[in-house]
Amino acid sequence: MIKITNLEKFYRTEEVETIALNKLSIEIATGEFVAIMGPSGCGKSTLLNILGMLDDPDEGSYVFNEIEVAHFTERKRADLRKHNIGFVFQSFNLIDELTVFENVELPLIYTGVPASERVKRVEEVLDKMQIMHRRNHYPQQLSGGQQQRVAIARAVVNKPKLILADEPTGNLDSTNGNDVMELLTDLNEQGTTIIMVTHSEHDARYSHRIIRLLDGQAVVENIMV
Amino acid sequence: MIRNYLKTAYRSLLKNKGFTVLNVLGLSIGLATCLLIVFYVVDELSYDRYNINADRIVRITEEARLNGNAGSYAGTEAPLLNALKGNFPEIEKSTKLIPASALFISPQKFRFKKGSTNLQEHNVVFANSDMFDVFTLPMVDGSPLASLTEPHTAVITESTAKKYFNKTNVVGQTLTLNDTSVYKITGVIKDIPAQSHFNYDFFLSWSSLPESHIYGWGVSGQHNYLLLKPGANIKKLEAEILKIEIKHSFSPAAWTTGGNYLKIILTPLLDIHLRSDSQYQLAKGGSIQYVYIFSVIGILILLIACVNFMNLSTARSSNRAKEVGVRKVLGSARKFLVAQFLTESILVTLVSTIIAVFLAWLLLPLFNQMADKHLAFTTQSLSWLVPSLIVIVLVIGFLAGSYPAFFLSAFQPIDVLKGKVATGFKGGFLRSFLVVFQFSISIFLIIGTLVIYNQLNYIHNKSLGFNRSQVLVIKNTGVLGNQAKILKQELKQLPGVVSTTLSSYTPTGDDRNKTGLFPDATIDIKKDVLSEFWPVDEDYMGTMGIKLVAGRNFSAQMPTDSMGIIVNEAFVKRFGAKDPLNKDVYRYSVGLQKFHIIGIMKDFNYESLKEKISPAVLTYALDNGAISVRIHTTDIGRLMSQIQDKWKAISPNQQITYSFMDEDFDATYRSEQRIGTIFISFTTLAISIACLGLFGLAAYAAEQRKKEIGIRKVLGANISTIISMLSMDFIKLVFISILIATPIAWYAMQNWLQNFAYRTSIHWYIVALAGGTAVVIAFITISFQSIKAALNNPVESLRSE
Repeated sequence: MIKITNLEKFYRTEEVETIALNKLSIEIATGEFVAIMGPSGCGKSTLLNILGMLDDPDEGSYVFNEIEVAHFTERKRADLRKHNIGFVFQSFNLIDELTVFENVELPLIYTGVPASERVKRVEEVLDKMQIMHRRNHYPQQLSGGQQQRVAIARAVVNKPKLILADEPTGNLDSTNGNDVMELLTDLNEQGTTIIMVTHSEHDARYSHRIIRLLDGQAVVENIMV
Repeated sequence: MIRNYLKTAYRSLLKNKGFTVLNVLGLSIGLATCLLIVFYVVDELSYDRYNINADRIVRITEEARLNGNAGSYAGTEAPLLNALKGNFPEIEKSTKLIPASALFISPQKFRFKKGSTNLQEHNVVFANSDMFDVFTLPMVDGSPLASLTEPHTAVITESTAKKYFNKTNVVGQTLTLNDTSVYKITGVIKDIPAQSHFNYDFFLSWSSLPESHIYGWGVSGQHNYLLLKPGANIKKLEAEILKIEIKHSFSPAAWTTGGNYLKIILTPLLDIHLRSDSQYQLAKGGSIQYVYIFSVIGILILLIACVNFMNLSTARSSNRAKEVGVRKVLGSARKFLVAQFLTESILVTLVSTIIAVFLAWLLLPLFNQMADKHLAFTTQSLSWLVPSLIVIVLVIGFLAGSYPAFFLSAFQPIDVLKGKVATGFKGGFLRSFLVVFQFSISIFLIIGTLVIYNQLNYIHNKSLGFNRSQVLVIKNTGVLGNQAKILKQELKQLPGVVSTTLSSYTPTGDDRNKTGLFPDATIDIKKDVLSEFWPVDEDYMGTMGIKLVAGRNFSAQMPTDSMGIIVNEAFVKRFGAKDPLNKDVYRYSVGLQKFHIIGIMKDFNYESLKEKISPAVLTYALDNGAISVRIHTTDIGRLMSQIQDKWKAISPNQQITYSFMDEDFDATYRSEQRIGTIFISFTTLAISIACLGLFGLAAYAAEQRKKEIGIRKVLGANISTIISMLSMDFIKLVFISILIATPIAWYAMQNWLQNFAYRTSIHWYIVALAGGTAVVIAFITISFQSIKAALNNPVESLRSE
């Protein structure tokens, strides 16, 4: 599904140039659950942003579903993104002014799904995430675990092929954290590819494979058995 | 402590440079505009106040309605003051001014000799030495007591003395008027302040007037003024004077029948400039309506600017909740925080005010040009300006600073630091209200400007019943005497000249002559048709392009035409006769005269379009005051030099004075043009200030919603969706403003249009255009920020956790 080759990303300030990704090459197959680990500043989030087409690489190739996307325009990337990729963030990133239902509905609006179809699909996914009873609440009225369920619901409502999760349990206690990992595992078992950035060895054990980064390069790969 | 406040204030302002600049700029422009308007209004309100007894001086004004003619007249009769003298203890002094127009001489021209040439002067009036008892006109040479007492004496102003003699001590010198009479100068007065309802350069002694020009009862035109004793009962005095007027009128009974009336009004001197709309005033007055309009605009612009300032200040201050938390944790009492925020706000207001004063000073010459004023910063103006500016600084500074000062400082530090306090943009009902308020004012002003321009355009293009294009008016042919007739004939021969006519009465000129005309010789005042009565020649109608409806034009071949008249349709309507052609009309002036109606002409506008066309009559008589020349040429320059050559051949020592009729016409509406220009300038300023605020608020909103925009982009929103989302919030407010402003503007401008007898209506597209303009301007302002926000990389906004 994903093949990156010799990917490079630099951050420049007036004085220094920092290498975030250094000739990184990775391949991820459809249906995999991959965890990316490494110390702070190793380039995990940068990699995730590039994989999610939120950011451009400076050098190298990124083939997504057999399409080279490394130098796509913003419009093309956005289009590819909204139909194929769902995001889960550490800080949930729900919109405070919208209800649970409206938050989850948002990606469907942007992909042009008709209103009646949207209601059906949002209710379906809220049900699945066991958060239906909270559909008319605002994010601030929910616990952290509930908020992350809403965020995952939002990430999957469009039935993406790939879910990118950036420390999905980082803001949660262990019980809620485990729930979220179970949810992601279920999704993966139903065929969704998942790439997750995490600091937690515990969470990483849910994945099939751990890619460890250091200074923008993949140093170790662990295959989970 | 205060140093700490100032330091924090300074650094905080510096940190948010953009906001600070917008804030200071908006307030400065608003305050500067408001200052200019204040200068204008103060100037308008200061008319005639240079008179020490200004509050006790009144002008006797007459209001009359007779046979459908209703009007208010600034002039009353010559014998009136004598009749009052000694009979009314409440009258301390009285005086009169007789302008040339009240002398019924034609042409009404005064030419004074300077060296070998004659200079034509307009600011000439006849007066008595008692003028100095009533008005405050300090003398620089001579004595008031010895001035204007003898026939053929004159008092002139300082600058006139310099103009004719190059010095001011000229008592005893003489001036020659119209080549015939010699006037001895008995006094030189200081120039009359510009803020005066009369502005004369020459005061000629009343006793110089020939017997034939001193009129009795029944002929108004002399301007009579009274200096009243303090506490005089004005109502009672008006009633008493009315009794005298009616007693001496032609037909006392006429005033009480058929809806006719006569009223005497003692118009306070201080009301003459702005509140008196009487006819035949000594100078064109101002209008209290425009003073009100500009005052309102000034206040509105100041409000817009203040609202801006408050809006931006409060928007920005909500970002500082965290600072409040930290300061409180570190032990700051609430009152210190209040003081800190207020200091900051007052500091910015102070800086803005200083810039505003400087801006106003820079713009004053431009504004003077626009408003035709001579406003200046003087020590006197500073005496009221400085205290009021201090009040403004404190009030605006306090209001703008009060939200952060009192609201933010009340937060519990722990809530703020945990981020529990909503610091978002939404829920800013007050802010939305203020934006609506600003845009309502802007839209109101746009509609106002469009209506004014539409009306001016309508006036410009309206068919006037005469053809004002390609007509040259030579205005001082009076100096040629009988040779004017020769010039007329010679000009007619020039190639490029279609026709010429001799008369100082032109549809666009100033010379007017009202007279009473009667259907029979009984001169029954109840049947009076008050009409303009213009001496013209047989080429007049052709040259002016006035159409004949019935009958015929004057003809040099018909000797009886000297008693013939051509009347307009308005005259026919008022005259009442079914078929007025060939009927006789009587006039009583230096004996009874009989005229014969030989023609009826189409109505033409000879007064401002504010007035309906009233009766006008042409009479076949010589008036050599001006020659109008209808031309048809592609080489005006050549024709003009030929015309000047002809003039010089006849009168080598006189300068020719001429203008084109369409320019004269436009000059009639100069005050409306001026109002239009001022209006459009203020409107532009108001909108600019509102947009500055909107720009700031949009930037702020985009900043506040940065994270939301990021999330939406990640979820698939494209740039246009983000832009429209950000813009819609504000555009909605602009639409609400349109709904609020439109009816108010419609009502106000409808009222303004009532001033014109001939007016356009407020079309729907004016409202649509105003609304559309506001929406487009607002959208452009906002999209600048929205596009910037929408193009941001979402990674940036989502990273910070």
